[in-house]
Amino acid sequence: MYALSIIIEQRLRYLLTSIGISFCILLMFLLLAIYKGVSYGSVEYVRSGKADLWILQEHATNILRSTSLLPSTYQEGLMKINGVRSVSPVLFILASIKLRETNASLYLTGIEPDSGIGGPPEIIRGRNILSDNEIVLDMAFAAKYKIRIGDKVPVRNDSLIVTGICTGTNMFVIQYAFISLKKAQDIIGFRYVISAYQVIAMPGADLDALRTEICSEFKNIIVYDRMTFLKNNMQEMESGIIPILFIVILISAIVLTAILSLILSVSILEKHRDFAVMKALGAPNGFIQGLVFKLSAILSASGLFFGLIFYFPVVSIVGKIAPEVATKTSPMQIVVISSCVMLISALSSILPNLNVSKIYPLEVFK
Amino acid sequence: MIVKKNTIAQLINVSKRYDETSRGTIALKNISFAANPGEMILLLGPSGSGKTTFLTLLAGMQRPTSGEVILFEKHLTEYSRNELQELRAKRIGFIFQTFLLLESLTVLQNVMMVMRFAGTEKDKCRMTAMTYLKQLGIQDLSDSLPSKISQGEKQRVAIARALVNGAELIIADEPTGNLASRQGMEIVELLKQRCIDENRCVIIASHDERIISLASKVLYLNDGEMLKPDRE
Repeated sequence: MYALSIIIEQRLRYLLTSIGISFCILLMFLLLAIYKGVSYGSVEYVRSGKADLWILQEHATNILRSTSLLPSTYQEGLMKINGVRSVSPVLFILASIKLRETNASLYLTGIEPDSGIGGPPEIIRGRNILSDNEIVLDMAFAAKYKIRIGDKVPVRNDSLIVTGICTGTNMFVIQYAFISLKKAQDIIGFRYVISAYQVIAMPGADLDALRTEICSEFKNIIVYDRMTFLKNNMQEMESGIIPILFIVILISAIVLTAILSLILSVSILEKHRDFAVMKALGAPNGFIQGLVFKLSAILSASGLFFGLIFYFPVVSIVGKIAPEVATKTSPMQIVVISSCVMLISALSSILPNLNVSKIYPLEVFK
Repeated sequence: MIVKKNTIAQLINVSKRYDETSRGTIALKNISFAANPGEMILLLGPSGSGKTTFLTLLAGMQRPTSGEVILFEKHLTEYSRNELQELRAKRIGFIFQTFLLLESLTVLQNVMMVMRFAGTEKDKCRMTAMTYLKQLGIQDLSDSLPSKISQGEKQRVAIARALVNGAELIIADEPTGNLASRQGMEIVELLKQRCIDENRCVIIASHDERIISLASKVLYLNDGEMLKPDRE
């Protein structure tokens, strides 16, 4: 009751403190949401694909940050292998295009329009490409450059018509765009080059045996099953983004701990006499330590509350200002951040509790 | 050393020196004294005479430089830190000159808090605290904050807080210092009544010589030395 009374007594100060704390928590929420968004956008293409096996140039491990070049002539040979149902080539190109007087980058993905395999994970508006002069854009990219279905996008010397808008293709720093394989090969100027083959096996086929057979038939290639390839891409994405996000989240946590420790220490300084009185009157040590912890927990919980209230409008504003900043929120993230905040709240009460232990009951007689 | 039976507090040849070097200030010199149940003891002396040191030794808040302090028939040195905390919570009540009520809490919460320190169950705390407030005529102020009540009322709250755990020893430091003279005497009379009715021992440190008539024992301190008791 005393912890709550202290807070009620100085409600304005604690309200402002809670709002300050909420901004740190908001930052933590936002960074985690960005991580989740980038994670989703970077690997959803592989995760949602239908391919049982991915064939890449030897030594290539992923499609995010490694180069793989293979001859397109392997397709026919691959189709002849027992247990193979379909083989779809895909060509990835990092391309710069000029849009509204600015340079924009796209991760152009050339696919076979007929099969549709290797195409966008989910089309939310319009349709997939059907011909060489069409393109499907990521939702964030389209929103950023205010491109709608039916608009024309200049790619090299051509203008491609936007036929669809897709999701699960925003990698934060760059977005996927889907064009025909032939158009992609025209762009790089090599007719018989592709990046990878996506293989769909016959139902019930032994994937390990199939992989071994493909490896023995073709030179300088590597074959991954879907899970291994997904894991490779996840690792590649995480190695790039996690250290940065981790440092920023760590800084937020340190700032949060510092704010909490500071405000609790100030409270203890102001209530120095009250703590001495409580000690003189026989307050058990645990009572006073518990009091400091309760103060910390109340402030953290109210900061968490405000943080959650601010979070969804802020995400919506961020999405409007910078559509490429992909965010994804789940109840699990809220649970994780809430647990971290409560842990920080416990850590923050250590230093103030040390200050409390230095208050002597004798001081009441001064 | 003789530990007197049924004695609440006993000082035997107690001296207290702050900054324990030969040049340190001597607050108390060779004091011997005993406090028994039902006594109201007045400790008179000018500022700096050692009254506060005397009270803090009785409360077990500090240890003497030499001599023995016996509280509730046990040497002070035999009490652990937790036992001393428990002693202050359950068996010793405090009344301070400036009342030292917790300003964030209501009158009732101030009284209930010390009961919580003594480990009393929450439900019982409210009922007992209200009974004491009623006995002291301040039950209507139970939900008031200390900042909203008069000095005399604050002192009554402080008395309720000191008595509520059934403390056998009440230590009062200048309890009339911040009160108008009539109010001050009323407070001391109230304490004396509780002391007689409930067989508690009240030790009052004060400058106020009007209290002498109410005290069962008067001690004079001057420069840390106890002058011969006026009445014993």
